[in-house]
Amino acid sequence: MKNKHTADTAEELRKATRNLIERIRQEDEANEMKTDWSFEPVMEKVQAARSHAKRRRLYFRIASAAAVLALAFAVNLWYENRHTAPELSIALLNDTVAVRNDEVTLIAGNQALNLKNNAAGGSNAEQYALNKRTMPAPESEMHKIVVPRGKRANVVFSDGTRININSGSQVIYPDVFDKDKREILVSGEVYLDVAENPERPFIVKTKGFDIRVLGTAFNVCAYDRETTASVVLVRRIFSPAAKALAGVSVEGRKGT
Amino acid sequence: MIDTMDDTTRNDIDLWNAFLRGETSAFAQVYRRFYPLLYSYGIRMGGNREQVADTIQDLFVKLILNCKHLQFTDNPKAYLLRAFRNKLFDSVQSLRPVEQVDGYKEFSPLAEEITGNLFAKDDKDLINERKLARSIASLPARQREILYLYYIKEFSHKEIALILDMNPQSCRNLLSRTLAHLRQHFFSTATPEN
Repeated sequence: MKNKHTADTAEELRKATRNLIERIRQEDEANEMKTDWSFEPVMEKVQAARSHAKRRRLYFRIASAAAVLALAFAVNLWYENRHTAPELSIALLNDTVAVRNDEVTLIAGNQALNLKNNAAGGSNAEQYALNKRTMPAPESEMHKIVVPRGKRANVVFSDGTRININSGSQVIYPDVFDKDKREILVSGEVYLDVAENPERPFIVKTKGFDIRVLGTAFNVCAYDRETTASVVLVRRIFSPAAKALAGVSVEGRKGT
Repeated sequence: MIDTMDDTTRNDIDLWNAFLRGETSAFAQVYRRFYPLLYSYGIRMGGNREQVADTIQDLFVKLILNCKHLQFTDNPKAYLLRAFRNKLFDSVQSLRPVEQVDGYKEFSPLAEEITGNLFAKDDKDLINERKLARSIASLPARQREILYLYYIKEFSHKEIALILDMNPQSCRNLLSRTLAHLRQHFFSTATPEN
């Protein structure tokens, strides 16, 4: 059936529209009057939220302070080992070597090869070290890994310590560690998961400071160009006994 | 009623800028100025009184806590409604814009009392009004919402586009489509008995 709009029905629609609009507006006003407009509850909730946030920030600051104290406390528990083997010299980090193809490079002796990571989190560096050990030469050889910007590398050291090297970093290490200490030199940022060995402290040396641990996981950030450096302990240590076991200590270098 | 002396001295934009600066007096004024709009809208969108009131409060708590990070806007009213709408839809899943036809039926006897004395209304007007209300109720939710924003709250196409996150031309198109549907429905349906 075709719709027939007469003038009446169009006018009826207009009228109905006006009436309905008015009615709905009145309904709205009636609803609004029934509700509680007071603003006080809002500000109360705001204050509550602010003091809650303040409390959380305070807890975090206390926790961080505790972690710093834990590190400082551990220094007292550390005892000096008389090392017969010579220490790695920081000066070695100053040698800049031309990087091949912007690839992660392993420099060993007078050879340079590209470091490739494997799926297990290791690299061909370990294979190279393994090959070396089977050869007659007993002397430990210094290796240097250069990681250019935008790349990362994972290496497993001879003692089982895993190192994750971030972009723009260098690590110098002996392919076989000393029997009474494990030393590496770092410039840049690395994450270490140190295989526990109380007889053989693991020492990370950077330009500004040394870190000595017996077995824990931590991140070191010490880029040459940056003025600040950091050490972040990944495994938290709270009890004095646990601290002694991990043997974590940080010693600043004189004159820095 | 509420003392409106302070509220009307500043326009929306100045008031909003004061809000962004963190002035406590501005917090209260913005709240009072726009509360009715948000509340009515929330009820029309199908929320119950408690839900809507709580959502408005939570919205303002959030805005006040983050006032320094909020955006400047040349239309605080539309901005607030949009923020409120989003928050309402988030917190109440089963929310849908509803023109409560049953509610309308209940309300009309009361309205007759109010309007019957002021204007000479014959039954026919009331019948047509109900017919129109039913036609609106038969529309999809989004179209009902745009009718409400345009005719009841008198927002412009541009403002509605801001609130509903559409572009202004789509708004205009949607509105004209809606009116066409409405007209068709109104003229084609038989006039109901009551």
